[in-house]
Amino acid sequence: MFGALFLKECKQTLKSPVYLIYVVVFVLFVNSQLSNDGWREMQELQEPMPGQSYYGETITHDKALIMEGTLANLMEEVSHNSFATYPLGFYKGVNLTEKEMERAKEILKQCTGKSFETLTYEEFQGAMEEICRLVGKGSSYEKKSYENRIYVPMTYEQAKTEYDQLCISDRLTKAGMRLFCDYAGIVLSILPIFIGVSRGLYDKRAKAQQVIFSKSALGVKVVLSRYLANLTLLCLPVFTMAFYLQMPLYEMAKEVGVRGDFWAFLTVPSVWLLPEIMAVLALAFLITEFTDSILAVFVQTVWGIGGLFGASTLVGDFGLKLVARWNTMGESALFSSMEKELFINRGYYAAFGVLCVLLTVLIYERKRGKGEKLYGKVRETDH
Amino acid sequence: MEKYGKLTISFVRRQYWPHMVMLLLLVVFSGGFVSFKGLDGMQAARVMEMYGTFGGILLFTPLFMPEQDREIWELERSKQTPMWQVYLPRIVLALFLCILYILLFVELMKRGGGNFDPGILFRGAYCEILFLGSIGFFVSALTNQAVIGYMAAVIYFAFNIGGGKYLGKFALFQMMQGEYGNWSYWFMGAAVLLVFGVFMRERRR
Amino acid sequence: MEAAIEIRNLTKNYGKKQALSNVSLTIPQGMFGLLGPNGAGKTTLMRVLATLLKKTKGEITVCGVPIENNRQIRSMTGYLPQEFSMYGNMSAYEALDYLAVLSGMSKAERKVKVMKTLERVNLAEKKRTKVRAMSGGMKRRLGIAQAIIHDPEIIIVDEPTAGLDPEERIRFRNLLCEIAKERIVLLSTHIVGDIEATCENIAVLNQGKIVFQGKVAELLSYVEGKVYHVEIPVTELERVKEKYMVTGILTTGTSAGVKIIADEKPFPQARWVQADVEDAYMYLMHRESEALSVYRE
Repeated sequence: MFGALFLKECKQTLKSPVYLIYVVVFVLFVNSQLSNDGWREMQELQEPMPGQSYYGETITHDKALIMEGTLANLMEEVSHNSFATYPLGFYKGVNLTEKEMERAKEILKQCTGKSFETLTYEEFQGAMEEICRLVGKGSSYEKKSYENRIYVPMTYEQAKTEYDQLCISDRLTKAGMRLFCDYAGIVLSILPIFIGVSRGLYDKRAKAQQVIFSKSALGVKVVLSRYLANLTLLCLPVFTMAFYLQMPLYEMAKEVGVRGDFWAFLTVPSVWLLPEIMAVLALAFLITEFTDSILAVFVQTVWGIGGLFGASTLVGDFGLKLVARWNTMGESALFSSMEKELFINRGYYAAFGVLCVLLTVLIYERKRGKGEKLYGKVRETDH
Repeated sequence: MEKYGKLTISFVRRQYWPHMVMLLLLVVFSGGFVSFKGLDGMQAARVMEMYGTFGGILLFTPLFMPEQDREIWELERSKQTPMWQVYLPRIVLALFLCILYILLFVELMKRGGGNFDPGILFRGAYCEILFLGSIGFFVSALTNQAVIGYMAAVIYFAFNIGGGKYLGKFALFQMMQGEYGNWSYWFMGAAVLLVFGVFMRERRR
Repeated sequence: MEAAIEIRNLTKNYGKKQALSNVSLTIPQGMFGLLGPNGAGKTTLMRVLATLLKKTKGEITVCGVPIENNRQIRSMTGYLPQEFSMYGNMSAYEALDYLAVLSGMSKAERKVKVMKTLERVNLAEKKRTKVRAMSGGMKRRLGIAQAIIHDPEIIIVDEPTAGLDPEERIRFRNLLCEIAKERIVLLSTHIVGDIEATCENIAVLNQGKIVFQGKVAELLSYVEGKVYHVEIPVTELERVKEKYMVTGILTTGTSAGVKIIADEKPFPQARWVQADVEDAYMYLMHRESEALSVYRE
């Protein structure tokens, strides 16, 4: 019975204009992003040779370099009196008052007045803490931030390791799929909201709520079949596009003599994107079932778009962000150092999604026993 | 006149107030997302264009929500008052709320010691916010589904982040790049979409 | 187990408002009519029986099963709400098939039953018509189809004939009678004619209370010998209406034929006529409102 219901729900979704818009927008977006700059970088992929003048960049953990880079950044922001901060995960430009500016300049002078040999890391940290107090939360002068954002040129050895990792551990396709996930993740933080809201409101719109409530099917079956059908159909263009965009990469891998990971188009998006879709769709289901309104559109759009603006870096720093960014081809060593963080993040969202679906089931069952509204007056017009 | 007042109050009570509350929340929580301290012209424009524009989507997309129910729509159509006269007061209400909303932002930014021309910012922001809102309005009129209207407006907004160059004079986020001349295009676009929205909706069935 | 719905002291409150108060009712097999003015609590009662509303107080068993066993009750019940509709983009066949799945029917069962039920309600030829293109009558028929497809012991239909044309209404009533042969059909209406034509047992609900329960014949006996027909000049009409309970007027030119309910012969020229359910119902409601006004004073 569940299978039949699931298939019927799939058919319903396929007929809905919202789904059609989703597919078109998703395909166009991913295609435009990746055909522009995505694989081009890849085509220049060459094994680094000793004696090159430039090998790309990497994040450093060298304290002296961190201090240098951070202070240079501070000088830049002080001179413009415009500080980038991300207090709630959203970009917020902060401008200081004259008094605050004076203090900031003083701190800067204290640090730059000394040579880097005499400025200890502890002193530097203290100064940065004070800057944080001035500009507020979420600036690049927080310890967590500045220790992960200073880029330096790679040496030959580093570049060689990077290349080897890209070819051996990532087998090219994995790296490519990460870039795909980066772009796809952006749209997938928004578009599934509309699918969820429109399904959630359809019973009410069609005035079919009462009669569906009166049937013997358990709420779990009703809600879960809808959720899984929509989830499956949301994933369909994702994996299709992943496969389609992976093909040229797979060929390219052969050319450089690497056996690409054929299944990357399934494995990487499954970890990277599936939990995101699960969470976004489930929350849309939950809010819509709870409020019987389009509230989810506002709440979740702010969440999605806000998160997008909120990224302080486009590579890594997963934390608990909804959209996991990796806007680069490769950086394999960096990625493997952050892979665990990503797993935790995605695990969290998958669990969040499951939780939202369970809550939706509970609310559905409650509404069913209470007429059609969860709270407030049950219909007063009673014949 | 009293008739229109009654119709509009009923619309607010039954359908619109949650949107007005959301708009208020958008203002109340703005401090967490944008800074109002010492903004210059471009920074102030950024606040209005990246954050303030959501207010337009919120205000103009749901104006047809009662009539999404076919029975209500048919009932209203059977009355003497032409439908455009039912919609017009709602549009006027939304236009008015939009003015208040932008004035509030401009005031907040002025108090934060902003250094910009409030008149020019207001004109541009009003037209831009109206334009984005009218996209939601138009699409929800066309499809008879507010959800699709929101979807269209949000997609248009998102598309402008990377693809503004393809939209010519109708691109959003122009003022924060120092281009203040597009307000008339936004305004014209909005006017056309609003009028055609009502027209298409009533011609459809 | 005897097939009957037993309701004991059922009370349902919406906040402070009491929609049903202390309702006790036995609904046996066959057609059962629930009569009452708008707002009497008919829909509330039916929704409680369909497990869509929780009762505040009282006990209900359906064929021996307590109403708290939601799931079992739902599988035994077919419910046609007052405003029935389905997803507009589904055809009659798809909609019925979808609802049959929700009733837990297997694929093999559905394959046979969906078509058969559509035939039964005369929709077989329209099986490809989309719900959004259906007329009121077609939607109602689809509604009854979904209520009977899983062979429930109890069928609850709320105002099924509202909005149907006379021909459709009669066809619909006959269909219900046919279905009621081997089960309970509970039908609510404020159209007295529906009850007269179909139901043996009835209950009258007014302001959340049961004011009558029994056979149609018993209700008729209330007004037996109290219904008169009289021809009066049209100019007298207002005065007569004030003084007597008038259940029918037919004006022809300057005179009017009036149907009056009165305990004694109202006019010498009045002649006694056969009472119908409508008269009895009017009499009952009139008596109720008088009792109520006495009580209020």
